[in-house]
Amino acid sequence: MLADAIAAENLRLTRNRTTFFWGFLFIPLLALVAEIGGRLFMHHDLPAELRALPVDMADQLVKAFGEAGGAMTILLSLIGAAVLFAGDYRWETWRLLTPRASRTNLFLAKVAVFAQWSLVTILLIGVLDVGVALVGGMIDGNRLTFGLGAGEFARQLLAVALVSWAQLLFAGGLAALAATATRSTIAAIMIPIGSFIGLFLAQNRYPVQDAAADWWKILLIPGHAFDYGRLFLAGIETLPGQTIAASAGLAGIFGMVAWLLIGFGGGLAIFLRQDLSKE
Amino acid sequence: MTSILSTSNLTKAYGAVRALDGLTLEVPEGGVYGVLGPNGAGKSTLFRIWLGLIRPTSGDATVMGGAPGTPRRIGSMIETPRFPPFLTARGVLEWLSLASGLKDAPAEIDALLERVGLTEAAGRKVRGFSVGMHQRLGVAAALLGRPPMVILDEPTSGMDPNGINEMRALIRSLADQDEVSVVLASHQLAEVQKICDRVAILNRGTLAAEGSVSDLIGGAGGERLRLHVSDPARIAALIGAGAEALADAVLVRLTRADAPALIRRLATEGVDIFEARWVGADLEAVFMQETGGQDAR
Repeated sequence: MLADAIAAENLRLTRNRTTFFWGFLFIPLLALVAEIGGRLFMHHDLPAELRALPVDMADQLVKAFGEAGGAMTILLSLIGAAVLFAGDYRWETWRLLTPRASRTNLFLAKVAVFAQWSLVTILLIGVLDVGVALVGGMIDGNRLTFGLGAGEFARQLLAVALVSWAQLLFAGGLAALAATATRSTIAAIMIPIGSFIGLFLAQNRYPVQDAAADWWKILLIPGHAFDYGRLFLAGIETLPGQTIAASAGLAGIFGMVAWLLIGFGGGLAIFLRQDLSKE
Repeated sequence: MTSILSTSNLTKAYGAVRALDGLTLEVPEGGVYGVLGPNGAGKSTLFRIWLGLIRPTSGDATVMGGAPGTPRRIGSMIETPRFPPFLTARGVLEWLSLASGLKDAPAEIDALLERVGLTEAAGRKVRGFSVGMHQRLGVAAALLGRPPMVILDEPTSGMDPNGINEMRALIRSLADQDEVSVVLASHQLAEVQKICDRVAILNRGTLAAEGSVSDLIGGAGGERLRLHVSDPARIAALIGAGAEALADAVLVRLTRADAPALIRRLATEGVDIFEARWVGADLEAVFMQETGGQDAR
């Protein structure tokens, strides 16, 4: 059963302390340290009147979760993804697992465990960031405000957190595809990094000038897909009173889903047909 | 006779090389079944197909009546088992019991660790284990969940003599007391003869012989003189009736009383004899006869 395979994968990952720490816990801790550093700078070096500016908690939360899927988080989550998806080739342990669970369940368990811990990473980054802002604000006597209505706040928070999560899953999908195709942990890290560089260059080479007309760029280039998917889902205004075209938003959402399917689906398709005579 | 494993015209090709070549075999339920063969005979390929690790090029294989690759309660150990190095021996069994969906794992894990002699090493990480300890843990992993059948590839490889004896006793007790069907591949012909009820001898991906150990040994006839010579085919022809050329030796059926005269005659005719020894009526004799004298290793 899939639940059994997930439980086994979770046990193994959490006992692999080095990978678990660097892949999923380091970035939240780094974000915490950076936020504390920022607050200390403000506390010591800014004039009292600037320190005491009101803090918009809604804005702080949305920003924190929106930035949680950034480049550093992606880079380090690749460590976790690479070990998850290439570990059984490296340790030659597929032969222990394949008689116990179907290949589909074994692969999906890895996807589920990566999704689970990358979500925890996102949540930790956001919660710790806001926690520091809250404590720092109390020390400095900031007035706490909440600049969004409940519905709008919930929509924006969910949208940015979801897209940040999707960005980590996209990285995980590329690692899964590279790991199954090459059976190598290093390749499972380096191929996604190379792909990100290429996709970043493509994003800058083919900027979106007119969101409605350039929907195909949004669909094909993951960076655009995530940006426009986020804007569309969050309902954020690009200009006063103006949100992005539905065609651009939907292209963003389809693009995100398609890129996730390419990574994980491609990895699964290879794995289902793969000879494991020598892992 | 109910088959627990079978193949029908099974072929596995790696490019031009055929690891298995139209193999048809039925492994009966119960007892210890040995699969023998020289290097490259196709033993590991056959086991890997049964376990769903690789797919055949053509032909069929069945495992407990179904297709390979469908999860079943089969214990297995293929070659020297490897484990995630950061797990302890107990951790390995906990991990695999979760993967198998076992419910009462803790008590069973303790019992298995004791059965394979790893109780004291249960909390040690496997990265520090010797080959023999890996082997013992591999057997414990294969026995998790009390499977009705275990497939073991070289279960005593890397073990010291005491360990080999313990493993031999364990395998026999699995079949006799726990009623587990054990299918094993081994290069140790004496070991196979001691613990197996039936054997299949593979050679170049095909079935060279199959049957009960006693029948095969009985069919091999009495003692034979094995002469290690440089040109077996020519020497066999020179000796004439009762001589059979192997890859690097000649097997001669004759009485012990006639042996000195034969050796003197060959020496007179300028034949270089590097070694002469009696091959008993045992599995080794059967093996050499069926594989053309290739080394089991």
